[in-house]
Amino acid sequence: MSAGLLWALTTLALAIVLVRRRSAAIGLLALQSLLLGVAAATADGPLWVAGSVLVVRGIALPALLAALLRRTREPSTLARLLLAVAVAIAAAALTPDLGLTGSGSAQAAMALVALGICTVALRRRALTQLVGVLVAENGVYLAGLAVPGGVPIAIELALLLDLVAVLAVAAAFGDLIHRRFGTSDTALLRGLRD
Amino acid sequence: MTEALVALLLAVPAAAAAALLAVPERALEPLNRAAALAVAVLAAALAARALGDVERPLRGAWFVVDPAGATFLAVVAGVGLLGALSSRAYLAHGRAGTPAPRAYYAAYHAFWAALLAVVLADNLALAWLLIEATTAASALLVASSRRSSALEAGWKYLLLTSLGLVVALLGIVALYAGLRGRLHALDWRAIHAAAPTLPRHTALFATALLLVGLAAKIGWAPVHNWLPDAHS
Repeated sequence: MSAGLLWALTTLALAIVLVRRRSAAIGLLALQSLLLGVAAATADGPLWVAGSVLVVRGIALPALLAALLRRTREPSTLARLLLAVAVAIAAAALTPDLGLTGSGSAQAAMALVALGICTVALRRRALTQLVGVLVAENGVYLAGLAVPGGVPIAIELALLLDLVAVLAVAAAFGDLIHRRFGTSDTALLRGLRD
Repeated sequence: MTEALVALLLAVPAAAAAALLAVPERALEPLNRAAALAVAVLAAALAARALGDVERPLRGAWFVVDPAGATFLAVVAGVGLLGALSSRAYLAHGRAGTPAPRAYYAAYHAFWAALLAVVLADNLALAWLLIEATTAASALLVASSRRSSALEAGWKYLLLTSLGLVVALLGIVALYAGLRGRLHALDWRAIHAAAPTLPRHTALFATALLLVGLAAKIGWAPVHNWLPDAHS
């Protein structure tokens, strides 16, 4: 067993103490296990034992941890970005020209609605999800603004009233969630699965 | 006569919802029963009038009661009556997390009033507003049960159905832009009359959005996943 390997193993353990992100800790653990597995494979003894230890410790267990992590976490920023961009582009591409003023306003409105839905689906804080609903609602308002001749004032005002009512109910909910669980992280609301 | 009947039908549960917030605790159940019975009688009278002459639907400034509407009205009134009458047993079962009676009764009648108005509305935009009102009232109803699971169910319900309604609203705006009309362009008959002149893409787009959006609201698969929770 070389001194370099021993130092590497120890340094990895130290790094696990320090890193903030759980995914980084899992990655470091996997690396450490892989190093150990390689060391085991080069040592005496049947190769298949060392091989299976390597596979289980270095790959299967970290994968399991990562899966556990993914279930309790929102997707990474990059994953969210890619997904949201793909959904917004698809939504805009599927939107026909509705005869609104300004080219692309129908597509932009649809993209806003799609991005609002993405926000609700991909974020976990109650408040952020609520923001997502309002983004989608803004998309509809944008479409309304671009209707030639405008939308009747009665509809516009009723919409506003409606928005306030839903927001008030949502605020009451958010408050309840916060008081019940001490956080507004909706991932704690996992008692019900269908 | 019809106008008065419709106005009363909606005023009774709406007024009851407000009154239930104010009356003494022991008056809650009697008031709930009286209002529920009155609503059921009024709805039955209105439905009977509408079904008496199926050729000529009852029309007013903002409402229409055709045979389909009358059927739905009867169903909403009948199920609502049963719900109101069984409320006492539900509230009395004594398990943990039973809702506070006052909030429960008030939310129940507010929800009922909005639901009755939905089937009467003669305008797509008005119907949308009323459906949104049912969402707010029923989310309160789901949340009035003080269990954590009810909180979760209520939040999920509120988010999914709000998003569904936003999608449906975009469909309505698209339709409205295609119709190039005034407020009354979204009356059911006006939509029907203008249908042949709608641009094809606009019609398809609006229909798809309305279908998907309202599917979320009624709990159609695959956007149904709030429903088992909210009902459990």
